[in-house]
Amino acid sequence: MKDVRKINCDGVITSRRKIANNIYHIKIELEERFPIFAYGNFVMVHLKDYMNVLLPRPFSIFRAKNKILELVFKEVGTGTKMIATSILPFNVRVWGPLGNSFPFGKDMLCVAGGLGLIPLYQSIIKRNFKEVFVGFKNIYEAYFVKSLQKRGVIISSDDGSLGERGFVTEIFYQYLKRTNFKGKVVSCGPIGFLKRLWEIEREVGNIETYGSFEKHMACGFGVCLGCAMETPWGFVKVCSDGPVFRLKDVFGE
Amino acid sequence: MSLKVRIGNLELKNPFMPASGTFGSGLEYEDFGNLSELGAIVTKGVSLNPKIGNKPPRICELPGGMLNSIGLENIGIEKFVKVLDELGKYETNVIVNFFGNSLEEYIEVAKILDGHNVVSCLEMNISCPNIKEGGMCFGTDPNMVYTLVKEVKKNIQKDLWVKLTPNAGNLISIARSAEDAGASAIVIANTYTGMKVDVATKRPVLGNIFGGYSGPVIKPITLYHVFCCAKEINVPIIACGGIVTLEDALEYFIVGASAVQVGTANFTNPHILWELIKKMESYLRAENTSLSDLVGSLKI
Ligand SMILES: Cc1cc2nc3c(=O)[nH]c(=O)nc-3n(C[C@H](O)[C@H](O)[C@H](O)COP(=O)(O)OP(=O)(O)OC[C@H]3O[C@@H](n4cnc5c(N)ncnc54)[C@H](O)[C@@H]3O)c2cc1C
Ligand SMILES: Cc1cc2nc3c(=O)[nH]c(=O)nc-3n(C[C@H](O)[C@H](O)[C@H](O)COP(=O)(O)O)c2cc1C
Ligand code: FES
Repeated sequence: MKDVRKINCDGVITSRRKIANNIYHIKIELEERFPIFAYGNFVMVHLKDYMNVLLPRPFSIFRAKNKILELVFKEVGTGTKMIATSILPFNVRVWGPLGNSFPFGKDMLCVAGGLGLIPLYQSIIKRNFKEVFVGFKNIYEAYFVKSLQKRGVIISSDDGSLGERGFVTEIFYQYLKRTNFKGKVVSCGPIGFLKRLWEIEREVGNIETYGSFEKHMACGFGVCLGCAMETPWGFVKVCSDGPVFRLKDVFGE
Repeated sequence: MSLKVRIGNLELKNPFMPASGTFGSGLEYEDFGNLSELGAIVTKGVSLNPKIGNKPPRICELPGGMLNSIGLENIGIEKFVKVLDELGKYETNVIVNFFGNSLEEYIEVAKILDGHNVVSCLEMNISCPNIKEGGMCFGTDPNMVYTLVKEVKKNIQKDLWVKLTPNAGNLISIARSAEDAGASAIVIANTYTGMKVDVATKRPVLGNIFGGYSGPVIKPITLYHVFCCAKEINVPIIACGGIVTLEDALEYFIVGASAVQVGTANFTNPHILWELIKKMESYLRAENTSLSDLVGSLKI
């Protein structure tokens, strides 16, 4: 995606809505129009008025239209707590779109766990997939449930408090065994989830699974070399070689 | 108001440039600003052979600063030369930061860079272990620095800048050695060695255990080093450490730096160098002064 234009400008968080336990949806009004982006791209957000959060944080692009950028995030540490609790309007600096994107194609499957839904959500809504599996920890951490249900998404929760009971990876696995699906699978979720999907690909064969990975980042566009991820073939940069990788290229034999 | 500054044989259109390792090859910043407007482009450290770098995690954020243990990962001089060809289209100086683990390695890389027409001058990172001397850091011993600079300089035509490690403690004697051996400028300084422990797991946060501390928190310390060295040496000093605002840069000029490098702040705003140049122009106009009047204007 080398020729995609990037912006780097100031913005103001103008609205914030809690959509589940510790999960928020925010709108950022940017000084510039947000460029065309692809599903899986992310932005770096710098909390420029707070010296104690020095580095910017990476967030998937949830939606962007004209000068409004929307993100969905979970409060996990210092920076996200700041965004979750500060009085609005709240000043930030944003640069992006960054990174590569999910493969595009017909009849793909989609598997998302928890926050992994965010970079895939708009594509799910557009019904770009043959079948979609979304798993949450429990009903309290679930979001956008109604609109997912409306699109026939298979929803599950680890504790059974919402939809089918069990890990989303296992529900996906049962589906593969039932249907003998062949083709591409796109996914996003925690590292354990991605590892399990790789085990599944290895076992069933015939599928190509792509996943979006996370690492601590400083720059987001390939200059600091801080986001290095170990693979059997050496280090890759999650921000600029990824964040989307074929699982085989990360975990492979 | 002219922002021009002369460093050895080089003329810089302004005294602002990135710090090595925080700006990639420069090409990654094409989206954020016109590279020709910078005083210089300073590229990521390169060595004779490719280096795979350290085990992750490689970065750790701390209040006001960050630790990095990238481990000088780079593609090696052979591949890097192709990147240099691409940089040739920009109308500014290209400064190539390089390093080695032996005198011979330093000399060999320097010779290759010296022969490349895009390279304006060489910046030597001396914060590396000398394998032959039991891994002792080149940059902490004045005699080793003298020999290293002298031998490298003998083999090249272009200007050589020497980038000091602040971990040497007394930078004055190191800076003097580099100057006496033929350095055209002294860059002060690299990162401060440090570490962070995760108390829950009792493990170091960085995969490499320790790393280099950079960012706003180091500025007062590096500023003091620049102040001390500026009084003692005659070649220009290029200050590097914790610059975020114009005020930070001005402090360095006032204590005697002729130019400045911006590192970690490129990560918090990829457009920072261009903003600092604009602000500097406005400042000099508003104060009706020049850069040369500002440099070393500290009143004691
Ligand atoms: C490409 C990419 C896209 C992302 N998209 C989203 C998103 O859309 N919504 C969302 O809520 N989060 C997303 N994240 C994760 C998000 O960047 C981190 O949650 C955030 O940086 C934490 O900041 P903090 O200051 O609150 O946490 P810190 O105080 O820095 O850390 C708190 C905890 O979060 C962990 N953490 C911090 N940064 C990261 C990181 N980059 N990756 C993994 N763990 C981290 C730390 O290890 C620690 O356990 C994404 C990460 C990447 C790499
Ligand atoms: C991620 C990172 C990578 C770096 N890589 C190099 C390098 O390759 N060579 C070098 O001489 N200095 C390197 N440095 C040091 C910087 O050039 C600079 O000296 C230091 O960060 C202090 O400046 P700052 O506080 O403005 O960041 C690196 C620093 C960081 C943060
Ligand atoms: S975050 Fe800087 S190289 Fe990936």
